[in-house]
Amino acid sequence: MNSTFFGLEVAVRALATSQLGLDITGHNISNANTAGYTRQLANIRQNIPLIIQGNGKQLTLGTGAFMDNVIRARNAYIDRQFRAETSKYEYWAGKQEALQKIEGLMNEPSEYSLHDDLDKFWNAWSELAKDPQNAGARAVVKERAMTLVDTLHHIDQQITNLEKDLDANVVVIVKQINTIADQIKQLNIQIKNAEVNLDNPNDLKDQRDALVDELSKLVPVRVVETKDETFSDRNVGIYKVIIGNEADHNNVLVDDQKVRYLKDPPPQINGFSRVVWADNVQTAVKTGNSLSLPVVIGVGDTIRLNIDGEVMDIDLSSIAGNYDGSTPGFTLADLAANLTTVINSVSTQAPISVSYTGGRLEISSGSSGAASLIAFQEVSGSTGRKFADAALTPAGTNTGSAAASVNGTYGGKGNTLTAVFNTAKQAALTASAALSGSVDFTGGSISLEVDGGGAVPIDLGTLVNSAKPEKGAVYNLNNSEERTALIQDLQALIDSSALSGLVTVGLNADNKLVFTSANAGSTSSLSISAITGSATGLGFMAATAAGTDEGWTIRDNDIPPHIQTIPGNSGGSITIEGLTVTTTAGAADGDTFTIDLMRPDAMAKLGFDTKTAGTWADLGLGGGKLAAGLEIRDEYLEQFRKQMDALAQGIAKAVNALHNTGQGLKLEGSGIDFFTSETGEAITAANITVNSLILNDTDRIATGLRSSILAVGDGSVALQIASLSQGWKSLSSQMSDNLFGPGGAAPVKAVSFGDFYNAMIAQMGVDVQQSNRMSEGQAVLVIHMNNLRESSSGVSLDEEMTNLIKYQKSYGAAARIVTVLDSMFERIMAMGVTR
Amino acid sequence: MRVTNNMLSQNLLKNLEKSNNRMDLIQNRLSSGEAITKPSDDPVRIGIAMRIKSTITSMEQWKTNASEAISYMDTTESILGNMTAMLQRIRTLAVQGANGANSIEDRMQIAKEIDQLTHQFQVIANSQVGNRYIFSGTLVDTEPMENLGLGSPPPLPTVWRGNGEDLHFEVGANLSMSVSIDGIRLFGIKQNEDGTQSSAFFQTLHKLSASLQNGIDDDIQEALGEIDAHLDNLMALRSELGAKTNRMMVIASQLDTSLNNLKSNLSDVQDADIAQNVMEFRAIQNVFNAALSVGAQIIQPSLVDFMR
Repeated sequence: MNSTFFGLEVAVRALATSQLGLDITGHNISNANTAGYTRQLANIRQNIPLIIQGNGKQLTLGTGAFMDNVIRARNAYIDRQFRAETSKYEYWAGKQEALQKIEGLMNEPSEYSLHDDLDKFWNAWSELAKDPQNAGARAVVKERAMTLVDTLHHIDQQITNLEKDLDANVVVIVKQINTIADQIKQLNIQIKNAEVNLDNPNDLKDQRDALVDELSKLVPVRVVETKDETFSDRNVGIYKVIIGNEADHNNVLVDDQKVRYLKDPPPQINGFSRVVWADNVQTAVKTGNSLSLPVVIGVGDTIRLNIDGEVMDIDLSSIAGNYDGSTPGFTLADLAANLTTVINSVSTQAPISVSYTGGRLEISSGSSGAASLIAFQEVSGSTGRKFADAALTPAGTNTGSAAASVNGTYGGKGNTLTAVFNTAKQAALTASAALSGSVDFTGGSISLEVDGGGAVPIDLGTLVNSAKPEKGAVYNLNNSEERTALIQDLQALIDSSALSGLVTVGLNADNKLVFTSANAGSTSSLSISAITGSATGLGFMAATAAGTDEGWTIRDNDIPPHIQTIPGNSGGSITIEGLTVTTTAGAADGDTFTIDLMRPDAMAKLGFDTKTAGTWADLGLGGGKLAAGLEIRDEYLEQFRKQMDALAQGIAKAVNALHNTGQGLKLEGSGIDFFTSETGEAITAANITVNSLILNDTDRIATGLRSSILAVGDGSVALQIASLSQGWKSLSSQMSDNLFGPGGAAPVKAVSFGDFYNAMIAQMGVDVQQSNRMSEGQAVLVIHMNNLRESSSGVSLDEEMTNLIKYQKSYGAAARIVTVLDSMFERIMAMGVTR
Repeated sequence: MRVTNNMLSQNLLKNLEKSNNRMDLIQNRLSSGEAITKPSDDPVRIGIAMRIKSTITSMEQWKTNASEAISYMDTTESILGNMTAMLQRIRTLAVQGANGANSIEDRMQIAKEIDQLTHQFQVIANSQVGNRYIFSGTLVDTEPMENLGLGSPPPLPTVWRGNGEDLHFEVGANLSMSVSIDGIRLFGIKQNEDGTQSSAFFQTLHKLSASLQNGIDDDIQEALGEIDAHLDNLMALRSELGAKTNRMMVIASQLDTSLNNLKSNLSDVQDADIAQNVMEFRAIQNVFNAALSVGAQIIQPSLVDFMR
């Protein structure tokens, strides 16, 4: 027989259970729209039954229900997939965003794009070629060139801005990752405390899952949940979060109650933030390729090393030798030891060590930690050699009293610098024909202009042959006596004009007349025009000459050469392609010196390439916003910039090569460049500019071939430049001279500049298209995964309403039981009352 | 599959967004008239379009160059035409003068006319188109011949300042054509050993005038022969110029045709098919409208609405 009040106990439990069920339903409804909320289910269990004795047998009697626990409707497998797809989506969306910015900045195809600027630039040359005298057409060429240059600058600037934006994002994302990691750790502690007390903190777990979802947008994430074996009698979990490359065991961001932070702020290497673990204490190690014997290090061999951000050029001359691997002192271990010494003698970093193992050299940085880095930088070809007060010998030779020193990093393409000293020269014009025959100068007139003072006509009719006055203005120029008389008479005639004292008349060894201006220097000029009548007997054609200043003219042997001058003779310094040349005072006319710029690069000899070694956090491939940013910043934009630089450099070199062969409306002693570099370094999209000589004087835009006579109607050079729009035909001689690279290479790797640029744009288009498609596809997958997750974890109001009714009814029914029992008890109580 | 309220609203939202994107795309095509507006729309077609645009820009420049070249050559041709007429007149006069029946006065008159014509030839030698001396070669800013003035017999030029270089106009890919007449050939300029220059053409006229005045019949006959040679030379130069003008016209009309073709190619490549896009727009609009109206209905009702 069981207790009288047994039923009441059961009913009370039913009431409590139904009430809890109603509460859970209420909680679900309240959170129907909460992000990351997982619907909760009431896990109602039967109570332990009561066994009573009755009628000689045991009777198991149900004791009602109780709320065992509240569980989450969550599927860990869907979570994992959802996060993987989210990472991929964010990666492609990040790439898409950056690539669309680049696409927008190029503004192709439109009337305001580089492509259009290029077309207009070539057309301006075609227009100029028709009428080289036309100042308007010259101005148009200048303006089109300026527009082209501005557009190139703009693009380069935008690339830099984009890189900076992406870099700033990296800093923010690293901070976000650390913050999320911290929050997950806090939640892990709270959840563990609850679990130890046999609780199941669903809402805390929801929060933790939401944080991991958030993290999966930034980096690929994997969660590993295991049972904490310390607690054998209850379910306590260990929650690990791994980011980036799953295979890398070092990538555990949160290990239960510990966090491994990323270095914040991230270390800057080469101007960019690098993502590294804060506790990374590895040294950077760079292993070379297998060496083949013997390794011959020559005098003048250099390597350029970047260790922890310090760029150093290391001259291997002091360890030069034939390292055959066997001769004592010349084994490869000796080479490694020698390298260690020579590098450490230059480096200001912690001691660097070079070792020889397994047929390869290995170099490791002395410092360890998040910012440790080793990189070999390219010094191949003939660029970027550094001169630190290099003596003229043995690298160069000098004649006369010339002396100079050089310092800096040479960015040009030549391999020798040649300098010549000239004292100031007057402007001088030599007749094109020798004096000969009998000439009657009557009616002849010649106009002379000195130092820009205006043309002065000299009437040769007033000449009187001082050797034979009876002949008047008639001279037999085959007679030396009369030739001398002509020079004297001419001098006297000029001195009686407005040009008195400004022009000297002389005769050279070829019997040609020479007019020399009195002043020296570049301000001095002399021109002859309007040769009329018998004045042609002097042998002159219309021509202009300019004087030269005193000073050093320094040029490299590149074609076209880079030429700079140091004016005066008191010593001084100039920078040519990044190299500062300092001369001493007291040079004599004709002094020269040459400097050998060839400094061979020994990197390859040591088996090293130009890649960087360091220990960045391995962020895995193709996942997360962070990886997208890093990839665009470090690879795509760098590549894009290189192509823009190649285009700018190709255009500059091709136009310069042709421009140097010509002259415009002014006589050019040697050709000038059309495009130069703002900084004196090799031309890039960032520093390309129109030569200031041309900006100041459009007459110097070369149109015709260079010669001593101004053929102003000659548009052949302008034509050649214009035809660069169609390909390389006009550059064939320069290309066969290997001006643009060995094997007759073209200025850029395409059939024309337009083609090169089109290919660039098409490639960019394909990249944007791919990122568009991928992000679109990934978005669909993310939605699908989200639907799947919603399907199991989402709150359905219909369902909750049904539950509401269910629990309400069962609560009502339980209450009913209490009422029934109550009336039963009343009856029982009434039984004891006597009337 | 269990479907929750959030799924319904999220999916509806995504689908509406998709329709909106699609409408935006078609809207852009219709309003700009271009099927492709950025490289990612169709990298291959953009590449083609850019190449065609470049070619069109170049060709338009060449066309301008060609028509300028034609007008330049036309001017030169009319000058050469004048010269032919004048030279033929001189020939007639020379034949007339060679007739023994002429009196001294008659011959002097003939010589006078020849002197006048010779002076005119000297002026023609310095003719300009615009500010360019057309017979100076590339020294277009220099008068090729000194100004000798009238004389009897006409003074002989002793200097020729022009050179024999051609003026070139660019009229095609790596194709430039000479548009000038070589003054040196035209006037038979020779470089003398003493550094002066002489002109066979003017020497003939000088000889003719002098021989008429002096009545040297042999010289007149000789001059007549030379005039014929000069006429032949002039004719040869004129036909050369004519051939060049002709070729230039052919090039200009070829450029015209090519430009038309290219422009229609460009239109094929980048212009939007309006009809097709309008159709597509309608279809998407219908889907969008349907989604909106159905969406408004499916989101609201749930069991909540029926519980009182």
